[in-house]
Amino acid sequence: MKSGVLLRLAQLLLLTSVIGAWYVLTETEVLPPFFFGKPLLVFDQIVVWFADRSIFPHLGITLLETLLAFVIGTSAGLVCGLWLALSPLAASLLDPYVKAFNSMPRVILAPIFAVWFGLGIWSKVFLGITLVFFIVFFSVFHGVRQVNPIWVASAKLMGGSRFKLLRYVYLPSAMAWVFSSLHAAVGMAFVGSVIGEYLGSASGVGYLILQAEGVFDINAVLAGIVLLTICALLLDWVVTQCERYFLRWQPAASEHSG
Amino acid sequence: MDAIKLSGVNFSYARGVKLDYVLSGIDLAVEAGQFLSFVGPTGCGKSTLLHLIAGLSQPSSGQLDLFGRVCAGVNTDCGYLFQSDSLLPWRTALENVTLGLEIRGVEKRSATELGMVWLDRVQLKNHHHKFPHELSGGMRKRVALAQTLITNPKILLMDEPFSALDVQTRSSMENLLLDLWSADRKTVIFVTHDIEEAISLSDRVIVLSAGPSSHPIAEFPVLLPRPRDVFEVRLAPEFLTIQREIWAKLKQEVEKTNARLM
Ligand SMILES: Nc1ncnc2c1ncn2[C@@H]1O[C@H](COP(=O)(O)OP(=O)(O)O)[C@@H](O)[C@H]1O
Ligand SMILES: [Mg+2]
Repeated sequence: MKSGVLLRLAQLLLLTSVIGAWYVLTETEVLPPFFFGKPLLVFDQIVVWFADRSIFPHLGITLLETLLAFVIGTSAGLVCGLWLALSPLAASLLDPYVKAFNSMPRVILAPIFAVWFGLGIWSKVFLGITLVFFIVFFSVFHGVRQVNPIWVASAKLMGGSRFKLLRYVYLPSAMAWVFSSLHAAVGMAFVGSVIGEYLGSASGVGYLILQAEGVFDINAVLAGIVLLTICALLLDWVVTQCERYFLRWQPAASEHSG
Repeated sequence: MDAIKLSGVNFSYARGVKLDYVLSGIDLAVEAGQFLSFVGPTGCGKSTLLHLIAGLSQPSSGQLDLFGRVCAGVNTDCGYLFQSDSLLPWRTALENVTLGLEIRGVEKRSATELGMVWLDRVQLKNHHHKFPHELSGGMRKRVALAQTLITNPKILLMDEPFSALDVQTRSSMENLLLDLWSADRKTVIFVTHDIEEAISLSDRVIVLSAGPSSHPIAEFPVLLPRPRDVFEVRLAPEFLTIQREIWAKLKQEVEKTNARLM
């Protein structure tokens, strides 16, 4: 308990000293403020955005894209992971294509999605989905293949049909693997929306950053980045809370600290 | 009518022309209500034999009948207590006990009621809300026992169920098992490598030969009176006589196994 408080204090101290150094170095112009911004101006920019409420539509769009990409990508990854894990034929048929898609740098799909789905939210959502899908898919696929055969045998002896096995054994163990990949999945959904916006859009925090870059407003760029980071931390916190609740059956030793 | 009948059963894990049989030439009949134990050296095929009876694997040749009916497929008449942990880690003790009922479509409320009755029988009523990792090894075995018995299987298959437990827990589990069994005398096939455990629980003990091609080589009726207490029964003179006879047979097989593994 005590060492926890001390640790937090030390972490806070580290943050303040980095910002302090940044402040001093840019005020004394050791670092040119034109390229490095100034902490107070960055803070001002954030305050202005919230005060005139101009940030809310952008933030809303980015979060909506993230949420959609996350939900659709995770569900698709879960279903496909379960399906391929339980059907060895499909798995061996699709294996090379899955590998190819996964190793492809999917950011290059962004312009194609922009052409297919326009500059609205869906091109970003699809980019996010391609990123989220594979994380959840591989996690579920490998997890379900390692399901304890004794659980399966035991459920079969209790009279379990294929559907019952899916419902009582495979799906719950797949969910455990989904939760273990959720942190990475949320992060990726976020990356997908911001990169998508950055590469072509008319709204969203990524778009805001792009605009600011266009007029060399480095303080607004940094303000956008700070905002995104805070959002990512909040999303991660929500995931941790969900995980705490849904994975409460796991022994504490393997619990995430966070 | 016999509860279990194996006729000319051979089994190999390999499929092909040249078969190395794990089990071969198994002929065996078990009366309904009998408590039968198998003892045999490690790796001789005891777990494999239980898998065959449960229908989790099929004989390479030969036939299995349960209650006069030929079996081909999973035998849902069998309750199986596995050697290692079989509880689902994401279900509480109560939810694990009622799993079989839920799978069979029993309504939730009556399943829970019956689940609590069974948890009480294995003395875990106050632990119903705990997850498997919060229970000790002995408690998990008791949950597994309740889980197996709640669906009222006609045949109970037990694969070295208590071998991982410490001596005290083990004896109390054995007594608990005898108590529960005496209520309705199911047919039990109990596998163990512990001769004392086999004698103190069973009506009949069969010794399996060393593998490969393992098969029964000797069998011993155990006529000790019931109800038994597993502590006291070990002091009876007949107990020691049977124990010595079984060990004489088993020793040769264990030596063969050791020689093969060297
Ligand atoms: N799934 C399997 N595939 C191939 N061989 C197996 C498999 N399971 C067990 N065996 C082999 O069959 C033999 C009997 O194993 P098992 O029935 O587990 O023995 P026991 O339970 O008596 O210790 C052993 O030689 C073991 O190596
Ligand atoms: Mg075994």
